[in-house]
Amino acid sequence: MEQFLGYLIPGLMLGTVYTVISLGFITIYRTTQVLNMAQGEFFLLGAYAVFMMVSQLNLPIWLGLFLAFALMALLGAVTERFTLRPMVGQPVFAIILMTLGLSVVLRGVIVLVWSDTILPMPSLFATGGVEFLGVTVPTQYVWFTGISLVIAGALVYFFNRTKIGLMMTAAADDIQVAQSCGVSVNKITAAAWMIAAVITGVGGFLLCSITGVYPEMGALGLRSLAVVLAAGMESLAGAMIMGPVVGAIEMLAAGYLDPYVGGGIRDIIAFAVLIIFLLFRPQGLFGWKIIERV
Amino acid sequence: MALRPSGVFNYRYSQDMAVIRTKPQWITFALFLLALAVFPFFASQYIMGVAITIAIYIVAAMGLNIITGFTGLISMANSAFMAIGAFTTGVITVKLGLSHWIALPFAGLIAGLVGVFFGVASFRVKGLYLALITIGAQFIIMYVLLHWNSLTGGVTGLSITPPNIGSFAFDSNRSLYFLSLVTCIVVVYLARNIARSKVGRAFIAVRDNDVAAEVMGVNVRAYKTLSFFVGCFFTGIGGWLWCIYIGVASVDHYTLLESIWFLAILVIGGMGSVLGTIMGVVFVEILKEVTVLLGPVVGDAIPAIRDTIGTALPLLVLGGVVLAFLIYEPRGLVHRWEIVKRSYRLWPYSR
Repeated sequence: MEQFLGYLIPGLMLGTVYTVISLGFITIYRTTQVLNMAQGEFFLLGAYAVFMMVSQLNLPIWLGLFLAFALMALLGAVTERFTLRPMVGQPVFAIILMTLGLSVVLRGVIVLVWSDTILPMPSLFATGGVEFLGVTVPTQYVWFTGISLVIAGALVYFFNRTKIGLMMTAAADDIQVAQSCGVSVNKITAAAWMIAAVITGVGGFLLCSITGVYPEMGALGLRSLAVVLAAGMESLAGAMIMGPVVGAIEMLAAGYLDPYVGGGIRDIIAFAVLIIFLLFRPQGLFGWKIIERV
Repeated sequence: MALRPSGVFNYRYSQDMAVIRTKPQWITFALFLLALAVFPFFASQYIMGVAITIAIYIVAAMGLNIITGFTGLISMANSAFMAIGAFTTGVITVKLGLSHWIALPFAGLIAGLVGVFFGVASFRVKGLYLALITIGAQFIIMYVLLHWNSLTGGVTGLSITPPNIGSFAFDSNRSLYFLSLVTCIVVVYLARNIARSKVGRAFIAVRDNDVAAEVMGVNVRAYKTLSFFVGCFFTGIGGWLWCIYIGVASVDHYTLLESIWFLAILVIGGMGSVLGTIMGVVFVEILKEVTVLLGPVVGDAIPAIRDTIGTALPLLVLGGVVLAFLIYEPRGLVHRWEIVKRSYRLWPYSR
């Protein structure tokens, strides 16, 4: 039991990183029906932007954080304007390839500027441990979980209570009706990309301030697709629930299965979850729509 | 297709069906084959290496072209299917001690069966969702190949001896060139003929509108399965060639990025076109070589990025080229070529 909780609790906590990345996916998907494969690179760039501002330019940490995330918002807007807007109306295949091509280019930029070694990140939080249900968890994890959940909650509020958020929900529901009711689709699409880039970037900063930042961290972007699928492609609440669940599954699998398969099961268990969900419940647990199927 | 050169008419059915129609076309084709045959006697070892890579990639990309280009099923696991071909070859030649020529059909067959296993998912989902399944397939296949130590040799992989016929061994670049070239020509011939047969037309019908295809009597599930099988078969053969060429079946080469390059090849060349796939492979492989050569030059010019430009430049250039093609020429190089050909045929009335 002790051991089980020892895997479960950090898993649940670190799983909130999947929630944050998935919220980025979902924000973009429910507004524009684009699945952004470059999400992992946004995640990395969030961390690298903070690294650049705070460690390389030696700005005070709060100013550095503010500038870094302003930069992420700019990245989101530029990405949308110059790569995704020309693709409106193109087949799904072309749009997937667009975001994949984008991820390759962004990866190139990351490697070019920061090389592929592990860089230590500035941290906001004290090290140390907290006792929780008989399991000692690093304090950083607790902060990390708390902030992730706050972001998720804020986003739910944003989509359901604010004007821009409601416009996005309207556009997601029916883009033509939304447009004829005076929603500027171009503006809210840009806004969705900016929001997604910023929250994913925040997630990147938070996790990488624990682990240090290196390009392989971007793999989390694709792994969180499992969370997006399991939650349903539009459901924010679903992502809040499924993120920790997938995180816990990963940790438990790593804890109990690794000795039998020779390690590294953590890297693929999310994809197994993804395939199982796609085969048996492709609309996810909390999704809106019946998905395209034959 | 609709526009033939002026003065060329069909008198018989066989003429209508012919891929190569006129005498000048036959002569050009023969000269082209001759050029390919004498090429290794003049080229340097480096150029030969590039040519072999191109030939092998045409084989593997043709498999993806059948799945994605003809049937419209997005596969992001092409390099993993190639890896299965390579490791099958490794297991058959190293662990079982059989000949490479026995491994050849099995490399295709096992890759094809694994492809069908994941392709069955395409019955239930399509479009975006199939792309996600195949991403999963890419990681899971490579994980299994990496961790099944007793069979695949794990991190080190299996080293492959050159194949031989009698006492003649395919151990030089020149002999490997001919091996790849012949395989490549056979695969191109098959793919071109699949494309215009009943099967190929069924693939295209499934891609363009699967409901309409079903109503017309095309068995959508059977043809999707067949498409994955044939496509992965070719890709597996590509893996067979590749592991013979580099002399080892190991996991490092077959990454997700490599699978993305395969899709990039299709986009750059032109989806669903045999000629387009060939053009795409030639373009992408030459561009890769150029970026590798340019890396140090740029690094010397701008010392601040000397250490990282080598890794970053191929990503930036090829990724950028993919983006540019998607925005400005989504139908690929082959569409440009058609335009040139048409204006040549209509001259002097072309615009």
